[in-house]
Formats: sequence, structure tokens, C-alpha cells
Amino acid sequence: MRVPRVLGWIAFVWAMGFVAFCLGAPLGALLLRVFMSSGSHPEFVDLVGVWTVVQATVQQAFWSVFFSVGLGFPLGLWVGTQVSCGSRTGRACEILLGLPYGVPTVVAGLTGVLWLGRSGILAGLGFHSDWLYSLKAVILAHVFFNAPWIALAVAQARWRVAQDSDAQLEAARTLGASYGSRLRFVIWPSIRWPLASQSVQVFNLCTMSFALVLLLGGGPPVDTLETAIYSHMRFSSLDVGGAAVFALAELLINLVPWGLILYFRGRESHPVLILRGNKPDRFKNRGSRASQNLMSLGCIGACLVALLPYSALVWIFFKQRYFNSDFASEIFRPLVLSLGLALGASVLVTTLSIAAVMVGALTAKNHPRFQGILNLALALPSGVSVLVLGLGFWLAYGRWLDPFDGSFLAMVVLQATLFFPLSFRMLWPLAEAVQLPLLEAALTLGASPGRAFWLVEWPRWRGPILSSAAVVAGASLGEVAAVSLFYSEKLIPLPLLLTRWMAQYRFDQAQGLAFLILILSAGTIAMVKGRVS
Amino acid sequence: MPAKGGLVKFRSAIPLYFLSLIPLGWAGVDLRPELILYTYDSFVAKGGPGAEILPRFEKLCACKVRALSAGSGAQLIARLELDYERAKPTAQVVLGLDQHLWDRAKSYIEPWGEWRPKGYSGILPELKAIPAKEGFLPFDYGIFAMMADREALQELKLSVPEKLGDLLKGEWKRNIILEDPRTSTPGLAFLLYTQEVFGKNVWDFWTALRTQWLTLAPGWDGAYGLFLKKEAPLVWSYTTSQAYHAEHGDKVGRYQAILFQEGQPIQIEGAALVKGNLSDPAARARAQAFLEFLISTEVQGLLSKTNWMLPSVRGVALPASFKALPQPKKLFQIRTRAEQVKQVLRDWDRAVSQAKGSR
Repeated sequence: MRVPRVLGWIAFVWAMGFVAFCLGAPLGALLLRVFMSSGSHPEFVDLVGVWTVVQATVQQAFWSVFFSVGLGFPLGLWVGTQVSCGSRTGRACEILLGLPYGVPTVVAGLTGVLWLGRSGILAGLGFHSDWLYSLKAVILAHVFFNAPWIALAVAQARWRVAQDSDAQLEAARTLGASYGSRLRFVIWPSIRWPLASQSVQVFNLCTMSFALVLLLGGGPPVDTLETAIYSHMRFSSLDVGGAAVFALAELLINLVPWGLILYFRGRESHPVLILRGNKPDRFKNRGSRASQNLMSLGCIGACLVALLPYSALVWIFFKQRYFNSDFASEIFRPLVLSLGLALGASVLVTTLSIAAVMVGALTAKNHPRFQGILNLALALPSGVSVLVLGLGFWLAYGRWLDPFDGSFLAMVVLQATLFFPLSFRMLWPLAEAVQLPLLEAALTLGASPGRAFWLVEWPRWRGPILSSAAVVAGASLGEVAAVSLFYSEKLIPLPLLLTRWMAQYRFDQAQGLAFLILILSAGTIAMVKGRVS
Repeated sequence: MPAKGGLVKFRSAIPLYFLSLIPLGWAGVDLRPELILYTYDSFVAKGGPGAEILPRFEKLCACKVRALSAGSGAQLIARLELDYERAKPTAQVVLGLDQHLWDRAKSYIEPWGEWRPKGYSGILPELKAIPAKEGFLPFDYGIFAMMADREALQELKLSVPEKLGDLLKGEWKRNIILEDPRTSTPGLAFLLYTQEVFGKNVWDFWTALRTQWLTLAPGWDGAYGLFLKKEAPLVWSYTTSQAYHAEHGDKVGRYQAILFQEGQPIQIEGAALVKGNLSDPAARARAQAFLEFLISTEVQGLLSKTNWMLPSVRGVALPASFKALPQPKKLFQIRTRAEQVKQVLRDWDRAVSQAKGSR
């Protein structure tokens, strides 16, 4: 492909610069500190203790992924089969399935208590259960978080099957292949890697879950590696050595699945770049209009179930009437800051992801091995605890950047590092289906590379790019760990205001603020996705 | 041509306008000497004690106080450590360390030597376990206690526990909310308190306690939020929580602090001079004056309702809600070393995480 070298090099420098500055330098500074520090003797590390926490973390994450896939896969397949990609129902499903990702963990924890608590909604209706404050509650909360996310990936992959392999599906159907056979031989090969990739992403999120595990898990033996990392930084004398052992365990747990995916995918014989034409989505209408409508309603209903827990918060919010002038004036500055942060993080992440995807696409053909390394390097942030990364930032850039004076830029960069793998995974399928013949044709006819890209590729990229930006913005609005490392009195975003109010006995107002954060983050995703679709 | 003349006049007025801004800008520059203070979040937050105390001190010393908040007390240490590593000390005073953090903080603190803040002799003797020469000024303190929801206790037909061991009775199964000692200061205080009370048998107590707690919340706020949602009738908090509820409409005494026969642990919040940024005698004098101001009757009287803590100085007038607080028979002033905390947390982890049997 005659994509200009300069453009490729810019993308390469941008993506690699990110890896070097946002991952390499902080992690390097941490390692240096571990080796230089006299206070981090390895005898402190209790290997039995590490193993116990690793077991608990993996167990929790495994079951969370298992049930998320168990629910998300059939739901995504159903939505992807029954609803057409561009239809109104398809757009609605896409929006609904994307919303839970914007839910802040503290809100998810709160809704868990509101529903399953002893004085919760279910208990009020006479359904008493001992689920809350156990492993089951953590898994349930994770499943509500992640099953829609899995379903979305599967539905999108299924829609791509409808576009790319429509002829094969039709042929199989005509030849009398059962649904099982069509699923196995035509649909599954296209769905399995997005499903695997999303499952690993969910596994990573679950292994790094912190507040939700502590709040809903009921304490040990339900545990997480993040707690161990936190306690080593908090009560011990900044015991980076001890924290690093747990962080390393976390990194390994998170990167091994990525490595396996890349390995097995690399062994596949079919080329990474799929040459496809610009076929319209020829979704076949099956059944009567009435049954179609019924199916559409069913799909929307199933997607809405994922949002059911948060309805309790809406009800409580309107019952309590939190909004008044004091509430509004107190949240104004944090609200502006949070919105700015969301915008900054989503712009930075999106540009980085585009660059990384471009580098991946350019190297796919000629340097497949390099592409594997690149993929693994870009998956690194998925496996690094935000606490470890934040400490690395302090150590690496503390000379120029005073973390306690507050730094908007550091908050943006740290959040961008956290959310980058998510965006990268969302955009990567685009690189795998670059429309080479059309691009070549446009270039041959004299179009400039930029114009060729704009006319041929951009219509396909626009939707996923804006969707990923919206998801990152939504997630940024509710993110608390990264911002808590670089805030100051003048830079307090909404999630920190929420925790501060809770520490001041202002629990009712905190609940109102939690609802506002939920509306903002989910609303951002819904609004952008709605427009994009 | 009037229009052109007007434009010329307007153009010539521009530099004058900017020149006129210079004295205004100059007037906006605060030339007062500065005192930099490291402190925790809720001290400087809206409604916190900082909003009352700092402007008063600024008036007194004709200086400007810049308070930099750093999250929790533990994060204050991280800040001091980073400043030390960067060889770039910023603050002259740190406020918000407690006795558990003192051992870690000591190397970054300027010892007092022979100097003592005016009014130091008025501090309650039980708060002076850390020798004065080390430089720790007890600023306020809180008494940890179980808070009980009497309404919930009645509903569940539970009687108030009288001693720590009562928490192991069957009736308290999944009826207590605690904080995780690995992530929360009150949680760590509870762990160290049980160690003081039970000595060698502490891990038997904790192994048995596993079935009793409903959850170990990541922090005090999370635990107290669950308690207010009636998830459990007991929560580990401070006695002053009772005063808070009394001041905010609890006329019938629904929320009450429960004291154990064994006594209660306390948390002493302190202030200190930071090493490395006090070479200027005027800066040192300002920092010392600030410490003295913190234990003045004026400031100590403000703490109860702004910080929901008890004053460290004798004879300070308290609101009625504070006078009504139950008085413990014994106070545990537990002081630990960093290595000791590591060891205790490791042993706790073994006792609780690796014990056999489900909760």
C-alpha cells in the first residue's frame, strides 16, 4: 500500500513515544527504585500470602468472565442475528450495551447494596438472600458490568459477518446447513477473536477490581491483588519492593492471556488483512413484520436488563430531591474539570489508538513478528495496576511534576494510559479490514493519500473512532484511582468530590452526586453513539 | 474626518490602558511571606477546620498560609518522602500525621530540641506518649468505638456488647461492619487494639471473628455508609459520630457509641515542623507560631464541630453533644513501628485469608 512513509513514521513515533513515556519510563523508574531501595528486602515477601491472593484474584476474575461470556455471548449473537446493524433497533442495542462501561465502580457498589442489601429493594419485597458481601456479589456486579460489553463485541462481530460473509452464509443455508453448522463453520471463525479479546479485557478489569471487591466481597478470603499493592504503599514505608512483587504477579496474570491470544492467532493460516469490497449490509429479513418487531423489542428488553440495577439509583435520586443551589454551586467547578478531563483523555486516547492501529496495519504485511511484539506492548497497560503506574509516574516525572500541586495534564495522561488498550481493541478490527483495492484505485486515479483515506476509509473509521472516544470519555468521568494521584484543592473532579463528601458524613448528597456521574458518563456514551449510529 | 480621529484616539488609548493595568496587577500580587502547610483533604475541604483556622492565623502573623492537601495521612508521608528524594522540600509544617505514621515520618521531621510550643503543658498527658523532643504536637484526638444503631438492635433483638469478646457470640454473626486494616486507618487501629487486648491469642480472636463481620469495607466512609443504610447494627467508628448525629437531628439517641470494658483505642492527630525548609529564621518563627496557634484555646474550640474530633488541650469548652459522649475507662495509645505494622498485617492476612473454612 502506498501510504506515505512520513505518515507511517509519525504514527510510529507517536505510538512508540506513548509506550516509552507512559509505560517504559514509569515502570523503569519503579524497577530502579526496587533495586536501589534498601528497604525492600525480599524476605518481607510472603510467597504463601502472594499465592493466596493470586488464587483469590484469579478465581474471582475467572468466574466473572465465565458468567459474563455465558450471558454476553448468546445475547450478542442474538442481537447480531436478529437486528440489522444500521437499523434503529440495532443502534439502540449498541447504545444500551455500551452504557454500563461508563458506570463508576462506586456507583456499581452502591447499586449492589441498594438491591441486595439487608434493607435493599429485594429484601423489601420479601426476597432475602445472603449473596451480598460474598464472592457471589462481586461476580454478580462484575457480570452486570461486563456481560453487555461482551455482548456488544459479539454483536458487532456478527454484523461484520453479515457484511463480509453474507454469500457464504447464504450458500450454507441453501445447501441445508443447520444453524449449528453455520455457526461453527461461518460465524464462529469471525467471532472467536473479538470474543477472546474482549474476554481477556474483561478478565483484566476483574483482576484489577478494587473498591467493588472490598465493598461487596465481605473481606478475605474474597481478595484482590490491588489491596495488597495498596497496603504496601500505604502503611509500610512506601514499600515499593513489596508492592512490586504483587504488581508483577498482576502483570503476569493479565499478560499471559494476551500472549496466548497473540500466539494462537499468529498460528492461523489466513492473512491478517482481509481484502474486502464496499458491500452494503445485506441483512436478510426473516419472518413476518410482526415477529420482526417482537424480536426487536425482545432484543431491546434483553439489553435493558443490563441497566436494571441502576434504575434503583434513579428512583432514590428523584425521591430525595438533591438538586438545589448549594449542590449546584459546589459541583460546578468539579463538573467543568471532569468534563475537561473526559474530553482530554478521549482525544489523547483516540489519537494514540489511531496511530497504533495505523502502525499495526502498516507492519502487518511485512513484519508480522514485529506486529506481535507491538500488540503485546500495547496491551501492557491492561496488566499494570493504576496504583503502580501512578507511583511510577511520581518517581519518573516527580522532578518536573509535583503530583501534590495537582496536574491536569498528568491526570489526562494517566487516564489515557489506562484506557488506551480499550480503545485500541475497539479500533483494531478496522486495521484488519482495510479496503486496499479501493485505496489503491483512488491513489492510482491521482487522489492524494489524505483524500484517498478520507473518501475510502474514513466513513468506516468514523463510527468506531467516535464510539471509542465516547466510551473513554464516559469511563473517564467515573474514574477515581488515577485522578486521586494528581489532584489538588483546585483540581477536584467529581468522583473525588463524591469520596470527600462521604468522608464528611454527607452520604445523601454523595448518593445524588453518584447519580449525576452515572447520568453524565452513560449520557455521554449514549449521545455520541446515538449520533454516530 | 471624525471617524478616523476617533480610531487614532482609540489606538493611542490602548497602551495607556495596559499601562494602567500594571499598578492594578502589582496590587494583586500578594507580597506577604508564606507558610506552606501539608495537610489531609478534609482539613482544607469546605466545612473543614482549615477554612476557619487558616484565615485567623493569616491575620495574626500577617502572612499567607498555603495549604496543600495530600489525600490521607498516609499520603502525607509519601509526599514528604518524595520531597526528600527530589531534594526539594516545600512545606514548613505538616499537619495530620497520627501515632501510627509517626515512625515513618520521623526522618523527615525537624526535632524541637529544647524548644516547646507555648501551651504545650496544657495538652492532655495521655496524648504525650511520643517524646516532645521528637517534634510531634498532638493537635486533636479521636476515640475509636463501635457505633450502634439502637433501632436496628431492637428490631434484631440484640443486646449491646459489653466487651470485645462479646463480638464472637452467635447473635453477632454477620452483624458487624469493620474496615479493612490493609486499606483503612480505623481498620488498622482496630487490629492493633485487639492485639493489645488479646496478646498472643489475637489470631484466634480474628479467626473466630471471620464469621461475624458482614464486610470489611475499604475505608471508614464506605463502612459508615453501609451502617447508615441499615446493613448492620454495629460499625467501627469514633465516639464523636454520636455527637455528629446528635447535632444533626438525632434527638432520641438512635446512634450511640458503645464502649468496651477493656477500654478504647485512640487516634492522635499531630502537627510537626518539616526538615529542610526552615533555614530562614523568619520562616522558622512563622512555623513555630503556627504550631502554637494550633493548640491555642481559640483553635481547639473550633475543632469539635469542624473536624468532629476532640481537643487535645485541657479546659476547652465543648458543645453539649460532646459533653454527652460516653467516657472510656481506659484509653489505648498504641504506637507502632513501620516494621511492626508490616508484620502485624502479614500475620493478620495469614490468620484471616489462609484460615480454613468458609465465612
